[in-house]
Amino acid sequence: MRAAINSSLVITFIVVGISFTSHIAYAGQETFDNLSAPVDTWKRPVERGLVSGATIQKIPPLNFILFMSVLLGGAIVAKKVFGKNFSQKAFIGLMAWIIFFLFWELAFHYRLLTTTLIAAPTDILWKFNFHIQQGYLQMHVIATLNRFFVAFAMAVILAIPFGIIAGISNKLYEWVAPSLNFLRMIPPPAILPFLIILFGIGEAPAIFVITLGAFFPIFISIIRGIHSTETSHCEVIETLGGSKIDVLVHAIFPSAIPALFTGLRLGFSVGWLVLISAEAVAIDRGVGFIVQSKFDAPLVFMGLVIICVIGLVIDFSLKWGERFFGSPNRETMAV
Amino acid sequence: MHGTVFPPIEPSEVISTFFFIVLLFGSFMTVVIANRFIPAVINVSFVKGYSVICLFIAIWEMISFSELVNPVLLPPASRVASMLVFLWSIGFLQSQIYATLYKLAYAFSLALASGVTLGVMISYYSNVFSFIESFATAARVIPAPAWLALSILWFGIGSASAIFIIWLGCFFPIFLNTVAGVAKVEPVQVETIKTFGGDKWDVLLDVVLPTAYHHILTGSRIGLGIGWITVVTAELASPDAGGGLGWMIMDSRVLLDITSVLCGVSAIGFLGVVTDSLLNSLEELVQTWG
Repeated sequence: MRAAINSSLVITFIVVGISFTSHIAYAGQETFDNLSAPVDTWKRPVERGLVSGATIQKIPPLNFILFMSVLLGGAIVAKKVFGKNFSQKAFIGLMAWIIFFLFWELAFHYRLLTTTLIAAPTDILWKFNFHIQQGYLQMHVIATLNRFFVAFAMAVILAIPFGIIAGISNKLYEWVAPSLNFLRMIPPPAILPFLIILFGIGEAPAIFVITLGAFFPIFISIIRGIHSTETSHCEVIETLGGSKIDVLVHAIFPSAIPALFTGLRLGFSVGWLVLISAEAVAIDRGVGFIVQSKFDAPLVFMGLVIICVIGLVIDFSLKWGERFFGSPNRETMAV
Repeated sequence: MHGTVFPPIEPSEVISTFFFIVLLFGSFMTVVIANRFIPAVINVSFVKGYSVICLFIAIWEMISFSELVNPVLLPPASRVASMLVFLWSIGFLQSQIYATLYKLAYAFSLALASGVTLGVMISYYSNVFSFIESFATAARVIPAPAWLALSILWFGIGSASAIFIIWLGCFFPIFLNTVAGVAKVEPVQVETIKTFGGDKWDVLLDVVLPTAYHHILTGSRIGLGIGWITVVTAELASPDAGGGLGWMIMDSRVLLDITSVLCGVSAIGFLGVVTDSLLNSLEELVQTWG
């Protein structure tokens, strides 16, 4: 029962994710195509457009420094007042970030750093403001999310049945394990040029490689989870007159569910890495494409911030799922 | 000028399909016979796995030979094999393998040294360094290839920029797993060593590292996998990253030389299996010591 609820939750999460992002992706693309803002060859808004359109003011560095100092003071006061609700660890983490940004901006203010090789926080905020107003940022984020959800869903949908088959039948696993091991060790981006020739330029090669990257961790985790089933549980069910289906549903699936969530997290980290690689090599839309804009440091940092935020959100939700559905004393692997 | 779309680079001697199938079957029979005589080295599961690999290669060869798929888009396995032999004979393949492995080994050893050192240090002085955790959490979810443009900006074109991002990719799994491993150290053991008059270094060498080596090796295997993905991406994305197998793949794709593309892919897969099994055997070796 619990296994059924868990798997239906996962499937619902994925289906809603796909439909949501793909709906917005097409809408966002249309909006972007209808934009009258001047764009360059790669459909990036040209900043000269600012002259004719709305002017976006840069945040004055001193205001930013002042704001950060106020935040710092506020955090300390909040720690004093709500001391019990604030964990020491979270407080130190927050303080570290505030001080980090404060000193980063101050270094630019006193010209210890220059804007050629690295960007000031106010510059990054200004880029954010500009690209959100132009609709450029939304388009890239939605394109990435859509691509990732489709590929990840395909990986999960393929890995669950194949993992269960390979996990249950030891004979089959023995035959195919060496060739799968060879395929696993080929970095997915390496076959990207070949896939571009086979499928043509576009979404298909990228989605294929992301699926390949996310598939193997999930697949192997499910196999491990099934192998970790205690034989006594299966024997008890068989002794009490249960059929093979009963063993599968009541003993093997429940022990594979925690491993499945560990695999999802591992698969996410590899899939996310391959996604950024594929967007750097083969695609002209997505956050991985933003961070490849060479010689525009503020734009690259903007892309890094977005990648970080999306990655943290997905990672935390998967970690929460692992903690919620997984067994409590299971070792989690740091990735 | 002859109206042909075949790749401009031709292997000097092409193995025929018939001869290739004979070779494949011969190698399979050799493995089967070797299993009879030296079962300790070549066991039954090796023969099973090898037979499936041979079957796949034979099917690939047949698909291309019967022209079910355009042989320009999917060249036959025999052609890829002869291209591998040709590229090896002119010394081109070796230089690309060297370039890739140089970058990977440089960055990986750097990541191993820095990851283990920092991981142990942060666990030792956890009060001072606890703020690092919040930075590490954020930096961990940014994949290393995302730093490529910045690393070219900072380190210039050449191997250095690639080495930087490979280091970044390998570093986090090793670092985080080291921290997780050191957290497993039991205070009783540390206190025992201190009671008998040991200093910090005795604690490190006799308790901390033996407890954490398993996690460190797990981290290195994950890091090596990420390192392979990152080195290939760096070479694919920037032609100035010091050459290498990824560059060879991208360069051949531009020339529509798909035979060479598949040569590069198979070489990378083979090297990946070799490096992974090297780390695996190291793990077994260390386990026998412990």
